[in-house]
Amino acid sequence: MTDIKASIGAIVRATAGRDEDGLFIIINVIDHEYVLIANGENRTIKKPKKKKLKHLKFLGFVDENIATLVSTKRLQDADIRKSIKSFE
Amino acid sequence: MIGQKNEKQIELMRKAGSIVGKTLTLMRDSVRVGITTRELDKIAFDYITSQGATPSFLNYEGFPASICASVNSVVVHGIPNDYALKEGDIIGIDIGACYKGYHGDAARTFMIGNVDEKTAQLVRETKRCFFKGIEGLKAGDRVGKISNAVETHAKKFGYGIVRELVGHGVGQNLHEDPQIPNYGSANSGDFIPVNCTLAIEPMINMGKAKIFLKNDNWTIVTADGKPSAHYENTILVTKDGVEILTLMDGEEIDD
Repeated sequence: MTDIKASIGAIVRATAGRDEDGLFIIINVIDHEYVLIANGENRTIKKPKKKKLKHLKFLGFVDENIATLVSTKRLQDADIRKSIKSFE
Repeated sequence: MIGQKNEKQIELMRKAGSIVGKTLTLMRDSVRVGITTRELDKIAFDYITSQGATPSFLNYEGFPASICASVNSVVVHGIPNDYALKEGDIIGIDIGACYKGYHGDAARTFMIGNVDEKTAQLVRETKRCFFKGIEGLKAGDRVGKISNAVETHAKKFGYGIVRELVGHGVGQNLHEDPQIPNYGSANSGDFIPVNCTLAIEPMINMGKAKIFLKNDNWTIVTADGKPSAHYENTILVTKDGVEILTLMDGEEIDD
């Protein structure tokens, strides 16, 4: 059975904790177990949430634009909000 | 950290792998027009349990069946149901068996009756991607060597390579380090130690790489609705090369 890769730009749904059911974008991959997620609102680029991959549901969509913005260090909270909105 | 196996563990991996290979053989012999994916799931469950093993996927993170049955535009993780196979379908069947605590994991894409040539080519070349991936592989190589070889072959045909789903280490857990993407630079990734077991699994789309997760939270489909093929084996990497642990009976390698 295929494993799911945590990629920057992936849209995920939180399945546990205070953020349960919210949509987020992975903005950094710490290791095999942990990533940083943000939604541009209460979880911002400056204060992202460290989350266990186990507590995220991957939705099969990676926003390549977000990945590019992260790699060029130009990502802003508005980009994240826009991306999540377009996914909803 | 990529785990290494001792002789005893390797023997258990061989046994788990052989149960998976035999179950896939049964699937190959059972797929036909009219059979439902639920019936295939039952056949797999009965065989795996008759061998003193347990289906690795059943209840894994809540997965409700023993096999993943992924028809046509379903990439992976299709849940068996009452869909009856039709002439011209392709079906990816992914199977895991856990024997005395060790998992074997493998997948094949089978063609039902006459499949159009473009789709048949996708199935053949996806299998070939796997064999390109392990060509010349031995301990000390980097994971990227596999990734790059798969990507290079798939790109020759203009296929979409799924990016969000990857192969993985396998052993006492179904998913272990490292992750093995089907794309990337040959000089990337961890170095592969001797006596480790890996599940290498190209997932190749006829159209674009983009995928979507359906509302059942499992089924992954191509975004453009075009077919997708999957081929996977559990392998043992040694200092001299590779041993494939999950081949079907009489299966030709790289036909």
